[in-house]
Amino acid sequence: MINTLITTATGDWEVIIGLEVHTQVKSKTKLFSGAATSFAAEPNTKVSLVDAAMPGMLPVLNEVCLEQAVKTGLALNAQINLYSVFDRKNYFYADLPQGYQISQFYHPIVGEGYLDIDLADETTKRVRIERIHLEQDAGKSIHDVHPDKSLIDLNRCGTALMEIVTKPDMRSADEAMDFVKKLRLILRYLGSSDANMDEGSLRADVNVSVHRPGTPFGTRAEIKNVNSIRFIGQAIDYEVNRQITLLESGGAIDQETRLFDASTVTTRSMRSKEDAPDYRYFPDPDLLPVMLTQDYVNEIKGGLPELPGQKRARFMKDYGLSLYDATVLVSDMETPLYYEAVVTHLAKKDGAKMASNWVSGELFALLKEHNLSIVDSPIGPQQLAGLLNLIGEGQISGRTAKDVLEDMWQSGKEASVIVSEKGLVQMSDAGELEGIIDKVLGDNPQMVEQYRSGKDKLFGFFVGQVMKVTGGKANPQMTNDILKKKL
Amino acid sequence: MTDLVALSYGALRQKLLSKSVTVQDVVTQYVRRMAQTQPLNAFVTEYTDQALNQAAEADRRIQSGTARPLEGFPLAVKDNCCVEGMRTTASSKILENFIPPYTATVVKRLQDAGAIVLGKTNLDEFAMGSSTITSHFGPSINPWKIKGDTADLIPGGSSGGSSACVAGLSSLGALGTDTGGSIRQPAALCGVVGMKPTYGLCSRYGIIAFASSLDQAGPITRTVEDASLVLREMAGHDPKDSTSLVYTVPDYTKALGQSIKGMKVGIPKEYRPAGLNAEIAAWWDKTIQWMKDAGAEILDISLPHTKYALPAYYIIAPAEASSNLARYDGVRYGLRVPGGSLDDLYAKTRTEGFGDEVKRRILIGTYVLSSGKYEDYYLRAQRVRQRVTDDFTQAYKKVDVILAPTTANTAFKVGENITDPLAMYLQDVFTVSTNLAGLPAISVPVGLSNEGLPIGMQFIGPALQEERLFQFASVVEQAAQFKGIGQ
Amino acid sequence: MEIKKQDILRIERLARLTLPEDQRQGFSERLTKVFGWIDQLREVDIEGVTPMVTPLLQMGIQTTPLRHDTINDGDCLDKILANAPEAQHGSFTVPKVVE
Repeated sequence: MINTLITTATGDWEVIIGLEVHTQVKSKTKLFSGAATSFAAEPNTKVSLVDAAMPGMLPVLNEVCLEQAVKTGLALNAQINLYSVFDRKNYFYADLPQGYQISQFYHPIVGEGYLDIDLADETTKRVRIERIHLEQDAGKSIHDVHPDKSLIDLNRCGTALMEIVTKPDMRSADEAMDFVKKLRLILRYLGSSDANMDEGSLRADVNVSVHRPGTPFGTRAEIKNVNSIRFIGQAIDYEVNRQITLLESGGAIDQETRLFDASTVTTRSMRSKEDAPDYRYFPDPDLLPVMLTQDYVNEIKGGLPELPGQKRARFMKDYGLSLYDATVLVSDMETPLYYEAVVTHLAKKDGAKMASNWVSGELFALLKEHNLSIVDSPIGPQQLAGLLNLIGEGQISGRTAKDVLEDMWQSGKEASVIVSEKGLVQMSDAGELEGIIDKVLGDNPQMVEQYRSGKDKLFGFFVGQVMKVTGGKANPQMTNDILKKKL
Repeated sequence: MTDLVALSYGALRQKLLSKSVTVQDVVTQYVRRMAQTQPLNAFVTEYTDQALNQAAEADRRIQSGTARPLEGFPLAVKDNCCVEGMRTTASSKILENFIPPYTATVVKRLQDAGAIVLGKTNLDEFAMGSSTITSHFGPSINPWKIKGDTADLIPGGSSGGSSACVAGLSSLGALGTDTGGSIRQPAALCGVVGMKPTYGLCSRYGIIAFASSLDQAGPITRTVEDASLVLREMAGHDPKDSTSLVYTVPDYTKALGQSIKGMKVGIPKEYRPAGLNAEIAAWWDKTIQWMKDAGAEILDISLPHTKYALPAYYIIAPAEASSNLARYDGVRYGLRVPGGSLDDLYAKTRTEGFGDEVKRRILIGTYVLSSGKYEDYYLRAQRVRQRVTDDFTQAYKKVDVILAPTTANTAFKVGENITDPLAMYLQDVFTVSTNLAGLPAISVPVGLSNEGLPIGMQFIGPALQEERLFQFASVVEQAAQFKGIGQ
Repeated sequence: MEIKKQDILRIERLARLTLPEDQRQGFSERLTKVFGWIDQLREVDIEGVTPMVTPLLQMGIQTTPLRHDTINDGDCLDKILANAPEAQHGSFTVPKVVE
């Protein structure tokens, strides 16, 4: 159990956090029109007459967006509502052409579910999902082109969003960030969203309150439109501080909507509860309710991909990996594919653990150094397996293998080719090694003396000397064994 | 040459196919008639040059033997139906210069069937009204006059321009839209046939929305047969409208003249309130007698929630309208009145762009959806709507169609405006139930009042029983031998 | 129920409409009258009745139709901007919005 309470001079505070995560649904076309969902396009070119809300235009629901929402709900262990309804949320804004957003207010497509997040002490914590609904994204107002006008680009307008709403189950900025990271990973595994915060395809409204443990929840502030995981953490930290300071100085928290300013790392009031807009939700008469069959849901359920949690459990069970190692491997989409391809090509299956170390150790280091993602690695999984097989067969030492890996990266050659070209094959002949070791010991009688009188650290010196003489090719395990015996 | 504008399409088509007249002859006569009837103010914008060009094209088709079902049919289109390249205003200042780059599906279908658009017809602003008085372009005038009186009469509304031009022989047929009676009521007041189809039979794509769950386009013609011909071409599934029914449209003309012997006609007692205009009551009785004479069985029925239909309608329609009309904000199309801020621009544009009645309905709609009122007004009204609909469901267990007057009164004088909002809303008292329930209804002229003004009766049918309505309407048409203007 | 002038002001603000000051009183009286008439809906027994948001459910249509996720629209900047009261750089323009 990790302590998330905040202790100040006046005592403990508990932080309560709930999230509303808005993520762009992955689909070729918009939620209700056949225009492409595309960010990198000239203004207003990915806009249909429907998106621009021309008089008489009508919405027709995209089947893929519906399926993506159901998939996401299933992956979050949630109730899929066989009956859901699209409502109109009425408000005026420059980038909202219809004068209303089509959303699901009264009857969302997905009901209650949950997502377990990992805590630092290797325990998990359950964050309950309240609902997920589908809605239209708005367009974009551009303020920096013209001195006194805003330009309206509707390319994003009408793109499908999922709003994933949690219960107020998180207790720290870390938990909130972990939740979003894990959610994002699941969305990517599902292919239901790219969940890319840089492109604004994942944004969160963060509800934060503080209270004394054992007392009712405090009044919450909602921080709108926070668009990166780091900012979520920063916004929560700032807000918690602000609220505690205010309360401790005798003030009261207003129920209000706040904005996060990334440049100053602060939040500021946007509007109070009294100014809360009256959205006048009502069922959109241009659409009928969405009625799903259990068969439809079951079919989607049957087609769900292996999710990060399932994959991690399998890696631990099948490959004997630790929780930590398995977690590192499944933390994106491509690494587990690469890793399993390496394992497939291993000569000895007990090398899976070593393969994990090499992928998340040496290979990751090289990728990071060259700023490449694993799919662009010049060393393919089969090649890496070739290298690991040489270690497994005792042909080269791990030390040598690191050099060979660098060489492979540069030259693109197979490990075996490099090893034989450079004569790096490990010396594993016991007789030969013994001769060399005898010579090393004979050359350094004082050191032998000191070692025998208790200076254990000198063992490394002898190993080093053997490696020096053999050019690093001496089999390390055999060298250790013979040295111990002779010393 | 006979007066071509007085002929029905059936008669005209015979002449066209036998090549005794050309489409150009026909359209030329209509264009002349449009000029003569200019004082009716039936058209907001005329497209006579385009019509003549199309007439030439239609003649080529007839020459080459490839005439389409409505080849050369002169059509007026209510100015809330978008036609590509033709100014479409909804008779509002806010859309005074709007030229849609798209065509409403119903218009497209009629054009594809050979209809020739003569122009766009006047309506109550955004179809909100029953008199065409609220048009930004001034009221349309009913071609009928009280005997011995030259005072201008209202044509009814909101499809007043469409009814006036069809009755005044300046178009053969017209498109109208009916949200609470806006096809049937003006058709009755102008002595023409008006058909409001089942909700979902005709696409709403490209029709400027008033109340999405009530709006439905339909034909206004001089004969039942013409209405059946036009409806057949405009009806049918449209994938661009989520509320469009998947339905194979039958050949409605086959129902014309079919015997109604043994069929059951329901007479709802709630449509005979104490103050019902005596002449209208008498014509209703006469129509009942025609039904009996044709062998139908007459049954007294009750639609007990009838009196609640109108108050429910005056919540639902403004609620939907308040949201549908939010898009007229001066940003992407239509009127813009500059403002210092975005909100200022919105308020100035909308205040100046919308007329008083539209503003009133937007405000009422905003009110009934606002926080604290939604449950009590909007949801209550939608529940009452279900009750109104259930009345019909019960009735159709006993009867095949329901027969009732279309209007409570004949046309009133322009300027003799009803200032009491309730009295004005009562114009819709016989028609709104049908819209709430989404049922089809047809209004047929049955005779003239003592003052010489047309009176209409309507048949209301079960969903998708348009054929049955045409069948009954043609029996009445036969019996009534109603003579329109110029006949 | 009385619809007060302050209610009118609130809904004007929500609807982005401004009535002339001298009309507000009259409108509030008019609305009070209209809602007095509308209040007869309270007589109807609606216990257990589901709100009827569209007539289609009545006709056995239970679910909204779906569209294939195929790009078949957009790339029509000319049409999008054709009626714009003001446009620059391929965009609609509005007075500068300050957050």
